[in-house]
Amino acid sequence: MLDISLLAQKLDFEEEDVVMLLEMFIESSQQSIKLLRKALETSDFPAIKEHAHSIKGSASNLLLDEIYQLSRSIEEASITQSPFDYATAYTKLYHALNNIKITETV
Amino acid sequence: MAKILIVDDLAVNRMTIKLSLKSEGYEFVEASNGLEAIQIAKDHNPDIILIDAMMPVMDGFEATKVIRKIEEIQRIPILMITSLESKEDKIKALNCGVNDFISKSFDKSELKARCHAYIELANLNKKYILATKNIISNLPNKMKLLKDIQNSKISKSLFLIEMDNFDDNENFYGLSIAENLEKIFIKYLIKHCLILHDHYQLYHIASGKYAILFNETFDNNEDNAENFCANLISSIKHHNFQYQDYNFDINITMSYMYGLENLYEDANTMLNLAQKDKLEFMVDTKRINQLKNNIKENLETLKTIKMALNEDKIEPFYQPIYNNHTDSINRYEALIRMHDKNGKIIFPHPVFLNVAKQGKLYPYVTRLLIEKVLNKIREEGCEISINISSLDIEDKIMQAFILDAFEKNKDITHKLIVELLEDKETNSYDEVNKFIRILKGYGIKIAIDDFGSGYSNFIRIVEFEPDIIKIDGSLICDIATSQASRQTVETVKIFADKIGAKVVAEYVENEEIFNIIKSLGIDYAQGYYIGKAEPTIRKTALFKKSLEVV
Repeated sequence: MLDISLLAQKLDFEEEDVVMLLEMFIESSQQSIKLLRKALETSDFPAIKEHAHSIKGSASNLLLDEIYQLSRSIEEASITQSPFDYATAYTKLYHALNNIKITETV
Repeated sequence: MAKILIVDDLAVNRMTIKLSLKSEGYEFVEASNGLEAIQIAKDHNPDIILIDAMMPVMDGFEATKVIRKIEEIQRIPILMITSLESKEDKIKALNCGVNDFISKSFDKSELKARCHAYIELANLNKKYILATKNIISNLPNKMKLLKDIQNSKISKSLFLIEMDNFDDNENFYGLSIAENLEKIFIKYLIKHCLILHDHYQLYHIASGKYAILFNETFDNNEDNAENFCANLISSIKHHNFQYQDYNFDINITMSYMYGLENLYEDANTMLNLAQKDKLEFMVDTKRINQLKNNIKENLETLKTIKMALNEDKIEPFYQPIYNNHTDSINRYEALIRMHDKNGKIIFPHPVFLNVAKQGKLYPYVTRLLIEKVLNKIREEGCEISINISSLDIEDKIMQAFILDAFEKNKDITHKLIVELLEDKETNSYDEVNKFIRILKGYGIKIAIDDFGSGYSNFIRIVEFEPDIIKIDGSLICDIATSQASRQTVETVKIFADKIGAKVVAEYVENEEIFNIIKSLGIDYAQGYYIGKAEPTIRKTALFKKSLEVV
């Protein structure tokens, strides 16, 4: 559960703006996560990097720490192509993205 | 309002930036990849560009590289929004032409501060570009030309080109057609220059005026420069410039100069000279030295005149005008004479007068003449004629001064004669005619000087209703030997009788001429045979005195 009020305070945005940004993020990251999965299945490293990077950027802007850390670890591993447990990281990321629940505080 | 282009493939990221800058009142345009960004930058000319590094289609690095090569947008500050952590990537970005970075996740106040700083920089850039560009053609302007010459360490070849009568086009067709004509003309110039040489810069230095500055590739010699001018002039002459339904024949004047110091000034002096002499071009660089000497001499002459004015060393001399009917002298022509430092008299020959006119000292000389002559009339009770040029009449301040002096002395103005001198720059005969009417109101007599040139247009003479016609000296000089001169003088006399004017013969230098003009019924004689111009008035003719001596 995200504390919109706290996030708005940290970002120095209006709460309604934070809600809008999060909604936009959820929409675009759903797209990215699908593409990431496809890339993982085919071991297409450049594509893995691209989609992980894309999630990472927005997550970092919105201070979504867990999502940022997970996507970053996937991106870095794809660059170095070192042994890495993509499946676990992917699953965690997938759940983290799906767990974003926006509840506006009144 | 400042405009920011935000480039990111994700809408959420673009929105985050927009919201962060919400309070700043910027206008935003957006692009989702590098390729789009280039087009939008061209269309919207933003003040700054915030660009993501990694994007599909074209990334931020590549887009920056391309933007830096496009003349109209290459100066826009570009900030890269990035989580680029590696030093190599940052250096790569800087090498592509990125000015600065904004890190993800960005701090809102830092983002604001950076945008603000780079928008300021963009404004300064724009001001500089505006100051160095001609707004019609977007070509570098005169300021830029002077700077480029100043920054050059080697001598360069400079051509100046000016459309003849461009102002007339502007007045006749209106500004917007004239501007479009310039644009068409510039296109033609660029095309022409391209064929000839590669390394040059074209400048738009004023309305209808252009400069071509070559670097060392142009072989500096006069033949070469002459060919370049002749080619360009002739191709322009034979080209039909068309805008809308209008056809324009364009003629140009050109000058060429090679050098470093005062390159533009010298080329411009040459251009003026070419225009004055009605030449199509001037490439003779030796002329510039000659001209510089002239300028020096002119300045010397001006100094002498100024000094003479200040020290009261300018005074009228009086040349007697002999009345052939009464065999007496009661009329004089006042002629300006000037002393130099040593008290030697310098005659105001044409050079002197021209310099005085161009140096705007002529009105002072005329003022002095009028004041002194009016005093002389008051002292001596004789009639005196003064020369007033059409330039004096057109000069409103001068005219006011003259009329004021006449008003203050109206008890004696009937003894004053004004000899009208035509100046080749006169353009308003109506003004002269109006002035004559006022003079006549003061009882001042009007004389037409040098009949045989200038005002001696019969219609004009009749309009001016002169009291006196002075026959041009060249006709009197050879009246004893030339049948034609004699017949002309006879005709002038008949004409003068018809319009009720008296006739004065100038240049009466000897007894023979004197007797002829007397026999022709000419009313007055003036010349060395009667007397030279002297500081005091001569009451007896010189020839009478010499008779007495004999």
